Amino acid sequence: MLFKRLLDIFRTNPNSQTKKVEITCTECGYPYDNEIEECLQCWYLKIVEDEASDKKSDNLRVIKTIRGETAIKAAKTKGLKLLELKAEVSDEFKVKYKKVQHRKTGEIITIGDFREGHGWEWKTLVNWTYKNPSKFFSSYAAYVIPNDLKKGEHVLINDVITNHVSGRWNQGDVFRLSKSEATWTGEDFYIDVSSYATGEFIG
Amino acid sequence: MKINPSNKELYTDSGAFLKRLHCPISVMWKDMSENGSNTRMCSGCEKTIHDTEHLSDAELEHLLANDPQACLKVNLNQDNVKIFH
Repeated sequence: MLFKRLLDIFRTNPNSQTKKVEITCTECGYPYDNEIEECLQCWYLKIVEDEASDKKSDNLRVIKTIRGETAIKAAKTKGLKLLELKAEVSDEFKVKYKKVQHRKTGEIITIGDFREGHGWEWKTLVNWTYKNPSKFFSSYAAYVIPNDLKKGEHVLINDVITNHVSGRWNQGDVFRLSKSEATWTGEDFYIDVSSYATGEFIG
Repeated sequence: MKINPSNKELYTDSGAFLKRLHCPISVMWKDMSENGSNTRMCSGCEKTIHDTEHLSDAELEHLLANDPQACLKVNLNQDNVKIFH
């Protein structure tokens, strides 16, 4: 019983959950930290190796995004057609959060709204903090362009490279558009920001 | 109610899951025609969209219990919505 209680305390210890530990990927040797589940270099290489080029979502063809020099080199070696773009950090975006922990159960939750009231039973672990959601794995990024993509075709991009505001909230948060519908102009994608805007949700 | 803007999942204040908001048609609320005091008609699918701004959690639960496919509109700036991540 005591052991279980100690184990629970250890599991919910904020320091044990937030401490960053660097891991070296056993497959590619790339270092990454324990806050992400998988080596991102391997993740993007898997996207390059994924032969399914005609995946569809909501009847739209899905355009693959790859990030990092290694994945881009691998894609070029495979002869894939790429639209290379620089992934830039923009200071315009900010999302706030606060981490609190229940004093009795040890449950840790992340809240994002100033109005979210928590009584004495919740202890503040991380006070209101803004994070920038436009920090990327690498500044090198590219869309994989299907060979048969026609000018004017409407597509879905699950990982948008360029920076667009998807919504502003009156508590100061400015959201970055991460997923969007887009139209291929023949040279670039016209990003349809309204398709996944976050100020207003319908569905 | 509470919404997670990254996955668009909607919950009651007490944490009960209501619905994941998703629409492939992309018609904006301002472009829909009013067909009731708190509802509008979507020109893309001809369904009625319910404005959640004046609905309580209990009213939303009742609405979705009767019609789980009911379409909702949530604006981040409305007073009865809290955001969580």
